[in-house]
Amino acid sequence: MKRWPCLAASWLLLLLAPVARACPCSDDAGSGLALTREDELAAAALVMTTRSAYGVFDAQGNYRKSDSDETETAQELLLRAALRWPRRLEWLAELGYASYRLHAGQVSQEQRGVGDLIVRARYQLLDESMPHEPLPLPAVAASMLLRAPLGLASVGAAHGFGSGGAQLGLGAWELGIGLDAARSLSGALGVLVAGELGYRFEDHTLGRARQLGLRAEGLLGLRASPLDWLSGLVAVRARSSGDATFSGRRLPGTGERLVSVVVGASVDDTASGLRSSLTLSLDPPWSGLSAGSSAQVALGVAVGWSFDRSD
Amino acid sequence: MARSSLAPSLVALALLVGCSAPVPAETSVTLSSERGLVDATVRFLGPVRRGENALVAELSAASPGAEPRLAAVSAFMVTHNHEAHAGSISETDAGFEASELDLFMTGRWQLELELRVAGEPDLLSLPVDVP
Repeated sequence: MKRWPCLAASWLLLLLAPVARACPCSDDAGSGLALTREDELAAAALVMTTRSAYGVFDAQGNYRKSDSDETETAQELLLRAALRWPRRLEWLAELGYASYRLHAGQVSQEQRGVGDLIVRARYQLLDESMPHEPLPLPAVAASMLLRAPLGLASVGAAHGFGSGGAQLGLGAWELGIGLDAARSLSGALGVLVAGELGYRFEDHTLGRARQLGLRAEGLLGLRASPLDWLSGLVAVRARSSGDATFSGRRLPGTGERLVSVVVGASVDDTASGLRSSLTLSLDPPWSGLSAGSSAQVALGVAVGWSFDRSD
Repeated sequence: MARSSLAPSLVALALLVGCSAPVPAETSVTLSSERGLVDATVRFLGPVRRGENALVAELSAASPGAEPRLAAVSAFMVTHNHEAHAGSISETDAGFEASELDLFMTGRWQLELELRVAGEPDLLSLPVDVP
């Protein structure tokens, strides 16, 4: 009797893996938290996201609502697979496929293809201390990320992507390091903090030497788990990248900054291994908050399975 | 402990959000080419806007007697992989006029003017902000 509402909710929401327990922004590099729990051996998830831009921030951070002749939308599928071996180390691979459309005045583009391959290794450095321990330490993990530019952007045939076109690839190799921490505030409440830095190597996506700026990303979230099988997350994510270099020249004003608010809900049936989640991400349209980026709303639905360890 | 985690995170977030904005790009600027072969004044015809734009480049060669020419005008939004090219370049009394330059996305573009002077290539590069 206790299980059926959990399973029903899982299928009803058509959701995924530990997304709400971890980071719901699972379709982007950065702030990547674990896909598996420590008592699990492996997990896989499919994330379906639809996103639409409703405005744009210029280089100075001034926000402007999209004009009637401007649309930028994307539908994405992201496959995530994780293996936890040994127990404290998770290996995670992500590969996406996206359909991206941009219409701006006389320019109209539609692109479909795979995105970049992202491989991440995350090591659990520290377990959260028990309540009776004198020093209340959080759970802490460190991660490394490698992005391989397999996406459409890297083949040089897709000039003209909008800012949302990152789903079709960055066009550059990227190496990143990250750190995340989680701490329970009470039995049902917890706080998440994550940060990541990404170095982008030089590429020739535009036909000449280009190097994207250093990416810095941070996430601060509050997790609530009112029931064993249900959890929710509210998070603020800030992402920033430095100025790009083109043909050996640094171009001031080409960096980006984007602040997003993310809310998500996740259902986790531990008996069957089925997990699912629903995630909504919104970039607040406030001038000064973001710069050099489009403001988007994204809705993600995911479904996933996990496999417990036998030992 | 939660407070001790929150505090540095909020500080980091504030730093990310509050980093200084770049100086707005001028729409009329005098500058020298990369190899120093040409001095130029580049001026947009009207306010820069999203969509088609036109500009005039007044060119003068550093070497007496040489006649610089504007061969092509391109614009790049390097972070987003955008690229645009002027559809037309003509010589007028005011200088070389490049038009049909479709800066179709809001943000900072990098404008590149390809020059020829006495058979030698040179380049002018300047930022432009599309509101």
